[in-house]
Amino acid sequence: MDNEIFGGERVEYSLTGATWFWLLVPMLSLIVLSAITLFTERGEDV
Amino acid sequence: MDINPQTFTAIIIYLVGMLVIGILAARMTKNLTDYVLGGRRLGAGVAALSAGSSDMSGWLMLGLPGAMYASGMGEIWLAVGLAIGAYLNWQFIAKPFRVYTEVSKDSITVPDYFENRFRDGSKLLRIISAVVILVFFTFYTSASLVGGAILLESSFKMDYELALWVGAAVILSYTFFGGFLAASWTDFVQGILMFLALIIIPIVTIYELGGWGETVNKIGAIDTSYLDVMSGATTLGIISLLAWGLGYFGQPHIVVRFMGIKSTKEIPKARFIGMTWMVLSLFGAIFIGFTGIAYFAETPLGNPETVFIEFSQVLFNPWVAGFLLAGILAAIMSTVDSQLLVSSSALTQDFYKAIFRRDAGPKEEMWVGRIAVLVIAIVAIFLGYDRDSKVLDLVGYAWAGFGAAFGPVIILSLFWKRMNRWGALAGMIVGAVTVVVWSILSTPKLNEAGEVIREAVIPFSLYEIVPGFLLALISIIVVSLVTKAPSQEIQDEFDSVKEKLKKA
Repeated sequence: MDNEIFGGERVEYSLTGATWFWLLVPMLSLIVLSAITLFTERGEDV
Repeated sequence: MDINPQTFTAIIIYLVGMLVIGILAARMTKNLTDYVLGGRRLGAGVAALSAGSSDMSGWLMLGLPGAMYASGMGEIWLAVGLAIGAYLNWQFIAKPFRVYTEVSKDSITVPDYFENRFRDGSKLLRIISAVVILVFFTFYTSASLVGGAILLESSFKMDYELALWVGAAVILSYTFFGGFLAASWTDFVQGILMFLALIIIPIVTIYELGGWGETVNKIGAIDTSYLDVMSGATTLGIISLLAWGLGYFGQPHIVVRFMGIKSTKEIPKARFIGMTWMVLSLFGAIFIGFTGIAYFAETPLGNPETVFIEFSQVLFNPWVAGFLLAGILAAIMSTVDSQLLVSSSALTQDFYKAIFRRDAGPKEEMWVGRIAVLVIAIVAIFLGYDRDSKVLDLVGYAWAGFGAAFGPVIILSLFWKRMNRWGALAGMIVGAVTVVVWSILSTPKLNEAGEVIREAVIPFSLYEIVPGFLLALISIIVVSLVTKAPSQEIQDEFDSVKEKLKKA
């Protein structure tokens, strides 16, 4: 489907800032957190 | 949908592979602990992926992409809530639960743990929790089998009832003999297959659509609300979707993976593998649905939940399509096998062994476990004959029900020394009852034409796990405090677990 044209200019769309934030920050942070604890939790087997 | 011979062959190869794994696992299964818990010898990778794949079910391949295709980015809240819940479960519950279940008389099921943790001589905790598991998981298994049968019916033009039996037969072929190890190993393979399917499709689709910018432009031109996470969102709606994550703490088929892990040293590794798998798979499912909006813009799909299946058919050669379709079967099968085993363990360990045959030998117990798997599967098949049966709606309560009934009990049992069996019993009952009552009171009564004939008693929409979980927590604390403190033996055991965990 063609994008809308206003005054000969093509309209560019993008995800909103809040969408990028909620999409990337919480879930990717969980991978980072679990990577950090992979190195910080080095206890013995109990 | 027409099935291609190569696609069919690819699916058959996959199913034979599952059977081979089942045979290998059966050779390592000697007693009931092996059968329902794999003898506590799961490595990090298998524990992580089997927990993830048995948790996610067909929702990851059908439900989430379907919701994204229908409504766009406003649907990501549930994925965010689930990812956070799964992480908290791995971070705070996995290690203490692994240690406590072993210290507390080597408990091998969740009801077993409840009874041993609180030294409940009345067996009330065991029986109530085992009944809840048995009832909900039988219906849950049935609903999952129905989902698999509908897929086989639409993919192979197979008769629905035959598809129900074929689906169950495949799962039973490896679960019956191989038990927990077979379920965990096949879930591991199934988890890899699901992951690959979920990652490949959106990458190929975005490439086909001319890149990310072009894909977003096409979607924005259709409707800009697809691009906004806040589109149609309300505060209570967002809280409800995020609250799905609370359900993790009480799901027996997921926490049993924590019990089965080889050692506490494996848990950080399993957490990292599990969270990476889950987050990337969720991204895959999100982008399959999202890119589907652009890809199928000119020929919209009648059923949004078929977006994954349609992509696998139109984008790939028949061999790859076969393995991608096998990915959906994998998602369904990996949940059914785990639920069958948890139900079987409830029948065998919590009824047969605990009440009727305390001196049953290892072989007898294992065979009772196998027969229980078979019986539950047959009951689930017959329940599934009527695919529109209202009884299958009970599944809707299962996630919130387990989350609210077992979650607060498990959490506080691991962290609060003063908790006693009366508190546990109160929390379990209040959590389960609140979920069911809240759900009924939030639903308007409709007539046969679908018109509202009586408004809902609760005038706002909030996922029932929120009140259920909170009221269960409060009940456990209040009832434990107004009744007698736990015995010295229980408190000493709690301290010994804490000491062990300091070293872990």
